[in-house]
Amino acid sequence: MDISALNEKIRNESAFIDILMQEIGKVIVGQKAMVERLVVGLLGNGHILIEGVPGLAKTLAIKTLASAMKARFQRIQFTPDLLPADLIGTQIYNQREGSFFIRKGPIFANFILADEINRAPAKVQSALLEAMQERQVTIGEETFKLDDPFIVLATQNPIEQEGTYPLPEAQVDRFMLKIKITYPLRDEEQRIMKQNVTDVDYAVQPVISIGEIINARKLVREVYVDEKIEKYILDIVFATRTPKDFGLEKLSDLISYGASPRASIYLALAAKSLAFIKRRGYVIPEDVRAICMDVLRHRIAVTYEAEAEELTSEYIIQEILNKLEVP
Amino acid sequence: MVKSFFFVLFHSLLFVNSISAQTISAKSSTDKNDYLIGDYIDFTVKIEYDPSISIINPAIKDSLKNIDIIKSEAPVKKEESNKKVLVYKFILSRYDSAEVVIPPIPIYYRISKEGEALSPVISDNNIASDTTIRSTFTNEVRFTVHSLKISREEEIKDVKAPVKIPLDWKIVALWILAGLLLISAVIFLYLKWKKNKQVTEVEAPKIDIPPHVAALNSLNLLEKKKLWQQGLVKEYHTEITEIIRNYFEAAFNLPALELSTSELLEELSVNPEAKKIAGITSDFLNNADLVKFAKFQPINQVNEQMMIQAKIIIEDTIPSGKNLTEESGKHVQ
Repeated sequence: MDISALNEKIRNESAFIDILMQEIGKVIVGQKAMVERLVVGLLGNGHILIEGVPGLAKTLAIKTLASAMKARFQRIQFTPDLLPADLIGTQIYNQREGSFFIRKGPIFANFILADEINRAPAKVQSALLEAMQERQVTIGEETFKLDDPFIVLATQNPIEQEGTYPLPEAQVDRFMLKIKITYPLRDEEQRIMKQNVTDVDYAVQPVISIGEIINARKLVREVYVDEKIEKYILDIVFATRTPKDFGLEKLSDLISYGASPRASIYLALAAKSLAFIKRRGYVIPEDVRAICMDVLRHRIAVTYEAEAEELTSEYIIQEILNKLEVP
Repeated sequence: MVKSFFFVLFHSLLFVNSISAQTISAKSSTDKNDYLIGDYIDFTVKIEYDPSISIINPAIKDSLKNIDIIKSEAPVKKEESNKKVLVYKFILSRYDSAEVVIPPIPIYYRISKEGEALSPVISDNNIASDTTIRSTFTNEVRFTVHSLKISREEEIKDVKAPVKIPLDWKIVALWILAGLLLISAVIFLYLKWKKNKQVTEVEAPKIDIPPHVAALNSLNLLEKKKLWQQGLVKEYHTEITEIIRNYFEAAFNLPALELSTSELLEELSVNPEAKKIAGITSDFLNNADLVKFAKFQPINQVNEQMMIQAKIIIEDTIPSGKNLTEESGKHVQ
């Protein structure tokens, strides 16, 4: 397709993004970056992990996003006694008929809010993450395809680590984005305070349908990525693996292992989604740089030396972005 | 003593026939008869025998009991007046005072016979040997090992002070000479290095070309390449933006090559010297981005406009007092 035609098409088709943002904005004050990234995940068909201290509207944002769409939403509170069957469902014996029937679990929905995912033991996390990857679950001898769209939005708390089960690196890698949210600004917090102490109902109305989302996803895949941008993405990902090759010798001792090929795929896809949100038919370096931190921060393992110096994967990514030439 | 005598007598009678036919003599001795404890004792066993006799390797060490063997030398074979001589030498020592007796040491041998194979004996010729083993003995050796004599009448003396080795002026002179040579070598190398460095500095002076001159030169070169006229539109836009980004790096000390368009525009908008060109730069970079990343095919006027805009960006930000046509740059000392 001609790029100007694609540009025009995307400009028209992405109009719903503004409506969606406006609807979410009724409830969520500030946190624009978080909401934008939630939409990136939605358009890129990727799962999202949100990390932030309690009370930052993580759960509310996800609930609001689901409510703004005509989609099925399920919230699962992860606890230490949760079992895989509580999540995916189980076979129940019917005494009257003398046979088993399948009761599907809450995972059969379009939006899953896995609240405090690190509070459940490894077997439950593993069941969820397998469903996330395969987009199907097996109960007994039957395999069920999960709904489309199927997006897991998991939250985790960086504090109160006692009694939690940190997600293994291999499983964290399956999340397209890991979003870190911080405290709102002073005037934002004032608005939040006002909004929550009055009797006004800020109910969110469904403004887009599943069909629109699926259609938008197809368009996102069509967004043009130039070879220069592809090379830039590869440079970023390879710099996390072999920083010496990019003149970043000081990072060599800080990286235990770099980002996987999944990072390149998700970085390209997230950049495309962001371009779509910005109503463009092509990706520019800004898109890659804007989303890079959220795609890579959970895919780079730092060494003990880095931990000792309190240097995080975010520092490494920032150093890489500062060093690499923008195309 | 008596026991030793009977031992010798018994063996002599046993091999009486052989002795009568062939001659062999064995003698053991020490260099002195009186030693201080810890002294080295040179002990020698010398065997003289006819060439037709083959000596079986004697087990001398077995007879050297109650005494320490410091060193045993390899046996020496030689010939003296038609006789073969075999000499074993040992250095012994003892760390206790005693009257030491080394008893007669048996030396076993065979007498050769024609047509017989050689047995494992010390033999210098390939003459076949008799299978009968015969023996002879060395003489008994006696010596005294005594301790230091203690004089109870004299006073107890203090430990001797360490011996002072007299200073050898030859060695001292040698060390001084070596030190002087080393210092001279270091000074020589340093002067040589300094001289080379000065030569290099003179040969390659650093030329500081003002950023605007370098950028305008690069733009002129790009113009001469006629890239967009040859259909290389994307390459043209890539190069022209790179020249401008490099100019921003040098002129405003911004990491322009590592910043995206929006980040760079943001930086320019807050820079007092670059604020005035923020608008034109925005058009310039955004147009280039469209060509570079969105397959946009601009008309010729746009390409020409890009060059004009690039030159305006540079000309508008030349620091006051600088000459636009200054091309040679200046030398830095």
